[in-house]
Amino acid sequence: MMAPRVGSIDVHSANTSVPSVTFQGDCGTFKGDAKVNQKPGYAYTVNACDNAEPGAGKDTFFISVTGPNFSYSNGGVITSSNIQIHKQ
Amino acid sequence: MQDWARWNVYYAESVNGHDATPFFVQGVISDHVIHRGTISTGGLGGGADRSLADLFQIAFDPQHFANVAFSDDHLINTEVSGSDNGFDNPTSRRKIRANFTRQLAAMAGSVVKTGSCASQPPPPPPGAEKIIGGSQIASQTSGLVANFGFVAMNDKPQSVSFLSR
Repeated sequence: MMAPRVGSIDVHSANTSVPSVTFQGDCGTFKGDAKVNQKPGYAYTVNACDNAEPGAGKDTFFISVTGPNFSYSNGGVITSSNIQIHKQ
Repeated sequence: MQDWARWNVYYAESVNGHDATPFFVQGVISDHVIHRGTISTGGLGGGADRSLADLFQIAFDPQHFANVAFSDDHLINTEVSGSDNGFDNPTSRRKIRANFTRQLAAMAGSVVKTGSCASQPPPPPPGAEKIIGGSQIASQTSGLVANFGFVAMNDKPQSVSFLSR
């Protein structure tokens, strides 16, 4: 399986196995199977935090993707829109 | 509609809260019902009446008397036509005001000598916890951005998409 070129990556959750999600404080971490550039066989982990309203410049998003001979991660403060957590 | 919940403001105090058997005194510090109907316990995500907002504040003055500010929407706004549907009707429009009260003497309410600490709250029901978002972060390629969107709930498969050039 060809690993995607680093810097160009298209990830979609595949949900071929039971995903998991945990909440801690204002953050959520969830993981599951993914397709990368439409190819299955990858796994992703996302951590997102709702730090403020509105979230631009405050909320954070991190993603890591692993697969055969492949590892990718990126993240940081979001530059627009919002991340919203609902606890109840 | 009749018999909606009627809310007052209560003040409780303990001066030995770290003891094995702490004492609490409590009493009503509002002189009238401040709200009728439901209140929201879900913050910004709550679907119930948020008229009281989150504006309850308390502080002690140098004499250790409580100074309390609280919201109050018990009065019907009769200045708006058609707003008066009855005192106990939640569809009536209300005047929302800020109230302030200061403790003048030691609490004269009932003394609570028994009880236990609140237990750990139960886990949220399925679907009650979720985090959603959609935005951009910087790409690993200088000058470009990465787009993403996701929905993660505690009872359903997660959905995430991420695109970075």
